[in-house]
Amino acid sequence: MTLMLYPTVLATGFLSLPTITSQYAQNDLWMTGFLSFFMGFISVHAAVRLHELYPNENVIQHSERIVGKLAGKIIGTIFFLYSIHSTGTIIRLYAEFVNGSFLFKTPILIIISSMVLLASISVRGGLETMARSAVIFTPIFIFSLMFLLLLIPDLDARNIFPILSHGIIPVLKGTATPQAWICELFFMTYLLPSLSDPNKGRKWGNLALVAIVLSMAYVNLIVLFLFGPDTKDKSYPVLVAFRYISAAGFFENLEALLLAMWVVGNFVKISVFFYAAVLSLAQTLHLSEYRPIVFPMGILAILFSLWDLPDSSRLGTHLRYIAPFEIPAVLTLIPLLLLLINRLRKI
Amino acid sequence: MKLALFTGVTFAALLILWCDWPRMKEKPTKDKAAFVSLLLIGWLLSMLDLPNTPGPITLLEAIFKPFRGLVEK
Repeated sequence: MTLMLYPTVLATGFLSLPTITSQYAQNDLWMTGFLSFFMGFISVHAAVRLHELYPNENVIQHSERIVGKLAGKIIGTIFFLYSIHSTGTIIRLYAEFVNGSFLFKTPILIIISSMVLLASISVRGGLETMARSAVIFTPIFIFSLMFLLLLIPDLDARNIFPILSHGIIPVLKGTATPQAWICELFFMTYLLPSLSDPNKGRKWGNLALVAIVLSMAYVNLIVLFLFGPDTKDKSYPVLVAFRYISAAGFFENLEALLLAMWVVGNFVKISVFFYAAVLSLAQTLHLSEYRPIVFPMGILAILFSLWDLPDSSRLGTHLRYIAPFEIPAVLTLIPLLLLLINRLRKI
Repeated sequence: MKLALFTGVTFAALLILWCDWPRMKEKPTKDKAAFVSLLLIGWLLSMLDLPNTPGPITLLEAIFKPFRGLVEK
Protein backbone atom coordinates (compact mmCIF):
# COMPACT_ATOMS: atom_id res chain seq x y z
CA MET A 1 0.00 0.00 0.00
CA THR A 2 2.84 2.36 0.83
CA LEU A 3 4.36 1.60 -2.54
CA MET A 4 1.12 2.70 -4.18
CA LEU A 5 0.64 5.79 -2.04
CA TYR A 6 4.15 7.18 -2.49
CA PRO A 7 3.87 7.92 -6.23
CA THR A 8 0.21 8.87 -5.75
CA VAL A 9 1.30 12.03 -4.02
CA LEU A 10 4.70 12.64 -5.49
CA ALA A 11 4.55 11.77 -9.19
CA THR A 12 3.07 15.11 -10.16
CA GLY A 13 4.36 16.65 -6.95
CA PHE A 14 7.91 16.65 -8.20
CA LEU A 15 6.74 18.06 -11.52
CA SER A 16 5.06 21.19 -10.38
CA LEU A 17 5.51 21.74 -6.66
CA PRO A 18 9.08 23.11 -6.51
CA THR A 19 8.18 25.96 -8.87
CA ILE A 20 4.96 26.85 -7.11
CA THR A 21 6.46 26.77 -3.63
CA SER A 22 9.54 28.72 -4.65
CA GLN A 23 7.39 31.47 -6.12
CA TYR A 24 5.95 32.06 -2.67
CA ALA A 25 8.68 31.03 -0.27
CA GLN A 26 11.82 31.65 -2.37
CA ASN A 27 14.71 30.16 -0.48
CA ASP A 28 12.54 28.75 2.30
CA LEU A 29 10.76 26.33 0.03
CA TRP A 30 12.29 23.33 1.73
CA MET A 31 10.22 24.05 4.83
CA THR A 32 6.95 23.60 2.99
CA GLY A 33 7.44 19.85 2.96
CA PHE A 34 7.66 19.69 6.73
CA LEU A 35 4.77 22.09 7.29
CA SER A 36 2.46 19.97 5.17
CA PHE A 37 3.21 16.96 7.39
CA PHE A 38 0.39 18.05 9.67
CA MET A 39 -2.30 17.83 6.98
CA GLY A 40 -0.97 14.48 5.88
CA PHE A 41 -1.18 13.15 9.40
CA ILE A 42 -4.81 14.23 9.64
CA SER A 43 -5.63 12.58 6.30
CA VAL A 44 -4.00 9.29 7.25
CA HIS A 45 -5.68 9.36 10.64
CA ALA A 46 -9.12 10.05 9.14
CA ALA A 47 -8.82 7.22 6.62
CA VAL A 48 -7.52 4.71 9.19
CA ARG A 49 -10.04 5.69 11.85
CA LEU A 50 -12.98 5.37 9.47
CA HIS A 51 -11.71 1.97 8.48
CA GLU A 52 -11.30 0.92 12.11
CA LEU A 53 -14.90 1.88 12.83
CA TYR A 54 -16.36 0.08 9.83
CA PRO A 55 -13.88 -2.47 8.53
CA ASN A 56 -13.72 -3.73 4.96
CA GLU A 57 -15.47 -0.68 3.57
CA ASN A 58 -14.21 2.48 2.01
CA VAL A 59 -15.31 6.04 2.53
CA ILE A 60 -18.29 5.85 0.15
CA GLN A 61 -19.83 3.00 2.08
CA HIS A 62 -18.95 4.67 5.37
CA SER A 63 -20.79 7.80 4.37
CA GLU A 64 -23.96 5.87 3.65
CA ARG A 65 -23.71 4.22 7.04
CA ILE A 66 -22.97 7.39 8.95
CA VAL A 67 -25.23 9.99 7.38
CA GLY A 68 -27.94 7.91 5.76
CA LYS A 69 -28.81 6.99 2.21
CA LEU A 70 -29.49 10.34 0.54
CA ALA A 71 -26.63 12.30 2.09
CA GLY A 72 -24.39 9.29 1.55
CA LYS A 73 -25.22 9.30 -2.14
CA ILE A 74 -24.51 13.03 -2.34
CA ILE A 75 -21.12 12.54 -0.68
CA GLY A 76 -20.43 9.62 -3.01
CA THR A 77 -21.24 11.79 -6.00
CA ILE A 78 -18.95 14.54 -4.73
CA PHE A 79 -16.14 12.02 -4.32
CA PHE A 80 -16.79 10.62 -7.78
CA LEU A 81 -16.85 14.04 -9.44
CA TYR A 82 -13.74 15.10 -7.58
CA SER A 83 -11.89 11.87 -8.47
CA ILE A 84 -12.72 11.90 -12.15
CA HIS A 85 -11.96 15.61 -12.47
CA SER A 86 -8.69 15.13 -10.58
CA THR A 87 -7.74 12.19 -12.77
CA GLY A 88 -8.28 14.37 -15.81
CA THR A 89 -6.21 17.22 -14.34
CA ILE A 90 -3.36 14.93 -13.40
CA ILE A 91 -3.31 13.27 -16.81
CA ARG A 92 -3.23 16.73 -18.37
CA LEU A 93 -0.36 17.80 -16.10
CA TYR A 94 1.62 14.73 -17.01
CA ALA A 95 0.83 15.07 -20.72
CA GLU A 96 1.75 18.78 -20.76
CA PHE A 97 5.10 17.90 -19.24
CA VAL A 98 5.83 15.11 -21.70
CA ASN A 99 4.59 17.19 -24.62
CA GLY A 100 6.39 20.36 -23.67
CA SER A 101 9.74 18.88 -22.69
CA PHE A 102 10.24 15.76 -24.74
CA LEU A 103 7.72 14.91 -27.43
CA PHE A 104 7.21 18.33 -28.96
CA LYS A 105 5.39 17.33 -32.11
CA THR A 106 3.18 14.57 -30.71
CA PRO A 107 -0.47 15.63 -30.42
CA ILE A 108 -1.28 15.83 -26.75
CA LEU A 109 -4.34 13.64 -27.26
CA ILE A 110 -2.10 10.71 -28.17
CA ILE A 111 -0.11 11.07 -24.96
CA ILE A 112 -3.28 11.39 -22.90
CA SER A 113 -5.01 8.47 -24.59
CA SER A 114 -2.07 6.10 -24.30
CA MET A 115 -1.74 6.74 -20.58
CA VAL A 116 -5.49 6.40 -20.00
CA LEU A 117 -5.57 3.15 -21.95
CA LEU A 118 -2.74 1.77 -19.83
CA ALA A 119 -4.31 2.89 -16.58
CA SER A 120 -7.71 1.48 -17.59
CA ILE A 121 -6.24 -1.91 -18.37
CA SER A 122 -4.46 -1.88 -15.02
CA VAL A 123 -7.60 -0.91 -13.09
CA ARG A 124 -9.70 -3.41 -14.98
CA GLY A 125 -7.24 -6.05 -13.91
CA GLY A 126 -8.07 -5.14 -10.35
CA LEU A 127 -6.29 -3.90 -7.26
CA GLU A 128 -3.84 -6.77 -7.33
CA THR A 129 -2.64 -5.83 -10.81
CA MET A 130 -2.17 -2.24 -9.72
CA ALA A 131 -0.35 -3.27 -6.57
CA ARG A 132 2.01 -5.59 -8.34
CA SER A 133 2.84 -2.98 -10.96
CA ALA A 134 3.49 -0.50 -8.16
CA VAL A 135 5.87 -3.00 -6.54
CA ILE A 136 7.95 -2.89 -9.70
CA PHE A 137 7.54 0.77 -10.62
CA THR A 138 7.84 2.60 -7.33
CA PRO A 139 11.39 1.36 -6.63
CA ILE A 140 12.35 2.56 -10.13
CA PHE A 141 10.78 5.89 -9.25
CA ILE A 142 12.70 6.16 -5.98
CA PHE A 143 15.98 4.85 -7.34
CA SER A 144 16.05 7.43 -10.12
CA LEU A 145 15.90 10.19 -7.53
CA MET A 146 19.21 8.99 -6.17
CA PHE A 147 20.86 10.23 -9.33
CA LEU A 148 20.30 13.76 -8.13
CA LEU A 149 23.07 13.07 -5.62
CA LEU A 150 25.51 13.12 -8.54
CA LEU A 151 25.00 16.87 -8.45
CA ILE A 152 26.70 17.21 -5.06
CA PRO A 153 29.84 18.87 -6.48
CA ASP A 154 27.66 21.57 -8.07
CA LEU A 155 25.49 22.31 -5.08
CA ASP A 156 25.94 25.52 -3.15
CA ALA A 157 24.54 25.18 0.36
CA ARG A 158 24.74 28.91 0.96
CA ASN A 159 21.66 29.34 -1.21
CA ILE A 160 19.58 28.33 1.78
CA PHE A 161 20.50 31.60 3.55
CA PRO A 162 18.98 33.92 4.64
CA ILE A 163 16.53 31.62 6.39
CA LEU A 164 13.07 33.04 6.94
CA SER A 165 14.13 36.49 5.81
CA HIS A 166 10.61 37.33 4.67
CA GLY A 167 8.94 35.85 7.70
CA ILE A 168 6.76 32.80 8.00
CA ILE A 169 3.78 34.05 5.95
CA PRO A 170 5.33 33.37 2.51
CA VAL A 171 6.25 29.88 3.69
CA LEU A 172 2.67 29.31 4.80
CA LYS A 173 1.39 30.56 1.46
CA GLY A 174 3.85 28.27 -0.25
CA THR A 175 2.60 25.32 1.80
CA ALA A 176 -0.90 25.73 0.37
CA THR A 177 -0.27 23.56 -2.69
CA PRO A 178 1.95 20.86 -1.13
CA GLN A 179 -0.54 20.30 1.65
CA ALA A 180 -3.26 19.77 -0.94
CA TRP A 181 -1.06 17.14 -2.57
CA ILE A 182 -0.44 15.43 0.76
CA CYS A 183 -4.18 15.26 1.43
CA GLU A 184 -4.31 12.85 -1.49
CA LEU A 185 -2.98 10.29 0.99
CA PHE A 186 -6.63 9.94 1.96
CA PHE A 187 -6.98 7.67 -1.07
CA MET A 188 -5.70 4.92 1.17
CA THR A 189 -9.33 4.57 2.15
CA TYR A 190 -9.84 2.69 -1.11
CA LEU A 191 -6.81 0.51 -0.46
CA LEU A 192 -7.34 -0.33 3.21
CA PRO A 193 -10.22 -2.80 2.73
CA SER A 194 -7.95 -5.04 0.66
CA LEU A 195 -5.05 -5.17 3.08
CA SER A 196 -4.16 -8.57 4.39
CA ASP A 197 -3.59 -7.09 7.85
CA PRO A 198 -5.72 -3.95 8.32
CA ASN A 199 -4.22 -3.23 11.72
CA LYS A 200 -0.97 -2.32 10.07
CA GLY A 201 -2.71 0.25 7.87
CA ARG A 202 -1.90 3.14 10.20
CA LYS A 203 1.76 2.22 10.38
CA TRP A 204 2.19 1.91 6.62
CA GLY A 205 0.19 5.06 5.99
CA ASN A 206 2.37 7.07 8.33
CA LEU A 207 5.44 5.52 6.74
CA ALA A 208 4.22 6.72 3.35
CA LEU A 209 3.66 10.18 4.83
CA VAL A 210 7.17 10.37 6.29
CA ALA A 211 8.72 9.11 3.06
CA ILE A 212 6.77 11.68 1.05
CA VAL A 213 7.71 14.58 3.32
CA LEU A 214 11.38 13.62 3.34
CA SER A 215 11.45 13.19 -0.44
CA MET A 216 9.83 16.56 -0.99
CA ALA A 217 12.37 18.20 1.30
CA TYR A 218 15.21 16.35 -0.42
CA VAL A 219 14.18 17.40 -3.92
CA ASN A 220 13.41 20.95 -2.82
CA LEU A 221 16.79 21.27 -1.12
CA ILE A 222 18.72 19.92 -4.09
CA VAL A 223 16.88 22.22 -6.46
CA LEU A 224 17.43 25.16 -4.11
CA PHE A 225 21.13 24.47 -3.67
CA LEU A 226 21.59 24.11 -7.40
CA PHE A 227 19.63 27.08 -8.67
CA GLY A 228 19.18 29.43 -5.73
CA PRO A 229 16.95 32.34 -6.73
CA ASP A 230 16.45 30.91 -10.22
CA THR A 231 14.17 28.13 -9.03
CA LYS A 232 10.99 30.08 -9.53
CA ASP A 233 11.87 31.00 -13.10
CA LYS A 234 11.84 27.44 -14.32
CA SER A 235 8.73 25.48 -15.16
CA TYR A 236 10.24 22.13 -14.20
CA PRO A 237 13.31 22.68 -12.02
CA VAL A 238 13.82 18.96 -11.47
CA LEU A 239 14.07 18.44 -15.22
CA VAL A 240 16.71 21.15 -15.53
CA ALA A 241 18.56 19.65 -12.57
CA PHE A 242 18.66 16.27 -14.26
CA ARG A 243 19.84 17.84 -17.50
CA TYR A 244 22.67 19.44 -15.58
CA ILE A 245 24.03 16.15 -14.29
CA SER A 246 27.32 15.37 -15.92
CA ALA A 247 29.56 13.08 -13.94
CA ALA A 248 32.82 11.51 -15.08
CA GLY A 249 31.84 12.11 -18.68
CA PHE A 250 29.64 9.06 -18.39
CA PHE A 251 26.39 10.07 -16.70
CA GLU A 252 24.94 12.54 -19.16
CA ASN A 253 21.53 13.22 -20.68
CA LEU A 254 19.87 11.81 -17.62
CA GLU A 255 16.64 13.62 -18.37
CA ALA A 256 15.75 10.52 -20.34
CA LEU A 257 15.91 8.63 -17.06
CA LEU A 258 13.77 11.34 -15.51
CA LEU A 259 11.16 10.89 -18.22
CA ALA A 260 11.09 7.14 -17.64
CA MET A 261 10.77 7.69 -13.91
CA TRP A 262 7.96 10.17 -14.35
CA VAL A 263 6.04 7.99 -16.75
CA VAL A 264 6.08 5.00 -14.39
CA GLY A 265 5.36 7.15 -11.34
CA ASN A 266 2.47 8.88 -13.04
CA PHE A 267 1.14 5.56 -14.28
CA VAL A 268 0.82 4.37 -10.67
CA LYS A 269 -0.69 7.69 -9.63
CA ILE A 270 -3.21 7.80 -12.44
CA SER A 271 -4.27 4.20 -11.89
CA VAL A 272 -4.88 4.88 -8.18
CA PHE A 273 -6.94 7.99 -8.93
CA PHE A 274 -8.78 6.16 -11.67
CA TYR A 275 -9.49 3.25 -9.33
CA ALA A 276 -10.87 5.74 -6.80
CA ALA A 277 -13.14 7.29 -9.44
CA VAL A 278 -14.40 3.93 -10.67
CA LEU A 279 -15.01 2.56 -7.18
CA SER A 280 -16.75 5.71 -5.99
CA LEU A 281 -19.19 5.61 -8.89
CA ALA A 282 -19.78 1.87 -8.64
CA GLN A 283 -20.50 2.06 -4.93
CA THR A 284 -22.60 5.20 -5.08
CA LEU A 285 -24.84 3.53 -7.64
CA HIS A 286 -24.64 0.13 -5.89
CA LEU A 287 -23.50 -1.64 -9.03
CA SER A 288 -22.71 -5.32 -8.76
CA GLU A 289 -19.12 -4.85 -9.90
CA TYR A 290 -16.94 -2.06 -11.14
CA ARG A 291 -15.15 -3.78 -14.01
CA PRO A 292 -17.59 -3.00 -16.85
CA ILE A 293 -17.52 0.75 -16.23
CA VAL A 294 -13.72 1.04 -16.27
CA PHE A 295 -13.32 1.65 -19.99
CA PRO A 296 -16.25 4.09 -20.32
CA MET A 297 -14.73 6.00 -17.41
CA GLY A 298 -11.49 6.03 -19.36
CA ILE A 299 -13.19 7.96 -22.13
CA LEU A 300 -14.58 10.35 -19.52
CA ALA A 301 -11.13 10.79 -18.00
CA ILE A 302 -9.73 11.79 -21.39
CA LEU A 303 -12.56 14.29 -21.82
CA PHE A 304 -12.04 15.73 -18.35
CA SER A 305 -8.35 16.21 -19.08
CA LEU A 306 -9.31 18.44 -21.99
CA TRP A 307 -12.38 20.19 -20.58
CA ASP A 308 -11.93 23.82 -19.64
CA LEU A 309 -8.14 23.63 -20.08
CA PRO A 310 -7.22 25.45 -23.28
CA ASP A 311 -3.59 25.79 -22.25
CA SER A 312 -1.17 24.95 -19.49
CA SER A 313 -1.32 28.39 -17.89
CA ARG A 314 -4.93 27.75 -16.96
CA LEU A 315 -3.78 24.49 -15.44
CA GLY A 316 -1.15 26.42 -13.49
CA THR A 317 -3.75 28.86 -12.20
CA HIS A 318 -5.94 25.98 -11.15
CA LEU A 319 -3.09 24.34 -9.22
CA ARG A 320 -2.09 27.53 -7.45
CA TYR A 321 -5.37 29.12 -6.55
CA ILE A 322 -8.08 26.46 -6.56
CA ALA A 323 -6.52 23.08 -5.82
CA PRO A 324 -5.22 24.13 -2.36
CA PHE A 325 -8.85 24.54 -1.32
CA GLU A 326 -10.66 21.99 -3.44
CA ILE A 327 -8.55 18.98 -2.47
CA PRO A 328 -8.54 19.40 1.33
CA ALA A 329 -12.24 20.29 1.22
CA VAL A 330 -13.13 16.97 -0.37
CA LEU A 331 -10.43 14.70 1.00
CA THR A 332 -10.00 16.01 4.53
CA LEU A 333 -13.01 18.11 5.48
CA ILE A 334 -15.66 15.58 4.45
CA PRO A 335 -13.99 12.61 6.23
CA LEU A 336 -13.47 14.68 9.37
CA LEU A 337 -17.13 15.70 9.25
CA LEU A 338 -18.07 12.04 8.85
CA LEU A 339 -16.01 11.14 11.89
CA LEU A 340 -17.55 13.98 13.87
CA ILE A 341 -21.10 13.02 12.93
CA ASN A 342 -20.34 9.43 13.78
CA ARG A 343 -19.10 10.48 17.20
CA LEU A 344 -22.16 12.66 17.77
CA ARG A 345 -24.52 9.89 16.74
CA LYS A 346 -23.07 7.54 19.27
CA ILE A 347 -23.81 9.91 22.13
CA MET B 1 -16.13 20.17 -32.26
CA LYS B 2 -12.73 18.66 -32.79
CA LEU B 3 -13.30 16.02 -35.41
CA ALA B 4 -10.33 13.91 -34.40
CA LEU B 5 -11.51 13.69 -30.80
CA PHE B 6 -15.11 13.02 -31.77
CA THR B 7 -14.31 10.22 -34.20
CA GLY B 8 -11.86 8.74 -31.72
CA VAL B 9 -14.41 8.74 -28.94
CA THR B 10 -17.15 7.34 -31.21
CA PHE B 11 -14.86 4.56 -32.35
CA ALA B 12 -13.73 3.79 -28.80
CA ALA B 13 -17.29 3.80 -27.48
CA LEU B 14 -18.48 1.43 -30.19
CA LEU B 15 -15.51 -0.83 -29.57
CA ILE B 16 -16.17 -0.93 -25.83
CA LEU B 17 -19.86 -1.60 -26.44
CA TRP B 18 -19.07 -4.40 -28.85
CA CYS B 19 -16.52 -6.05 -26.56
CA ASP B 20 -18.32 -5.72 -23.26
CA TRP B 21 -22.00 -6.13 -24.14
CA PRO B 22 -21.90 -9.97 -24.06
CA ARG B 23 -20.59 -9.73 -20.52
CA MET B 24 -23.24 -7.20 -19.60
CA LYS B 25 -26.16 -9.30 -20.77
CA GLU B 26 -26.47 -11.27 -17.54
CA LYS B 27 -25.97 -8.30 -15.29
CA PRO B 28 -28.86 -6.46 -13.62
CA THR B 29 -30.52 -3.61 -15.44
CA LYS B 30 -28.82 -1.00 -13.26
CA ASP B 31 -25.38 -2.12 -14.42
CA LYS B 32 -26.43 -2.03 -18.05
CA ALA B 33 -27.95 1.42 -17.58
CA ALA B 34 -24.79 2.76 -15.94
CA PHE B 35 -22.57 1.29 -18.64
CA VAL B 36 -24.62 2.69 -21.52
CA SER B 37 -25.19 6.07 -19.90
CA LEU B 38 -21.48 6.54 -19.18
CA LEU B 39 -20.69 5.83 -22.82
CA LEU B 40 -23.47 8.15 -23.90
CA ILE B 41 -22.33 11.01 -21.66
CA GLY B 42 -18.80 10.63 -22.95
CA TRP B 43 -19.96 10.60 -26.54
CA LEU B 44 -22.14 13.68 -26.08
CA LEU B 45 -19.38 15.56 -24.25
CA SER B 46 -16.92 14.88 -27.05
CA MET B 47 -19.19 16.81 -29.40
CA LEU B 48 -18.38 20.06 -27.63
CA ASP B 49 -15.24 22.09 -28.20
CA LEU B 50 -13.87 20.87 -24.91
CA PRO B 51 -10.81 22.99 -24.22
CA ASN B 52 -12.82 26.18 -24.53
CA THR B 53 -16.03 25.04 -22.88
CA PRO B 54 -16.59 26.30 -19.34
CA GLY B 55 -16.41 23.29 -17.15
CA PRO B 56 -15.35 21.96 -13.77
CA ILE B 57 -12.50 24.41 -13.35
CA THR B 58 -14.73 27.41 -13.95
CA LEU B 59 -17.21 25.98 -11.48
CA LEU B 60 -14.54 25.42 -8.84
CA GLU B 61 -13.16 28.91 -9.44
CA ALA B 62 -16.59 30.33 -8.75
CA ILE B 63 -16.98 28.25 -5.59
CA PHE B 64 -13.57 29.09 -4.14
CA LYS B 65 -13.34 32.70 -5.24
CA PRO B 66 -13.58 34.09 -1.66
CA PHE B 67 -10.46 32.14 -0.68
CA ARG B 68 -8.36 33.28 -3.58
CA GLY B 69 -6.99 36.23 -1.64
CA LEU B 70 -5.33 33.86 0.82
CA VAL B 71 -3.00 32.40 -1.79
CA GLU B 72 -2.65 35.36 -4.11
CA LYS B 73 0.85 36.76 -4.10
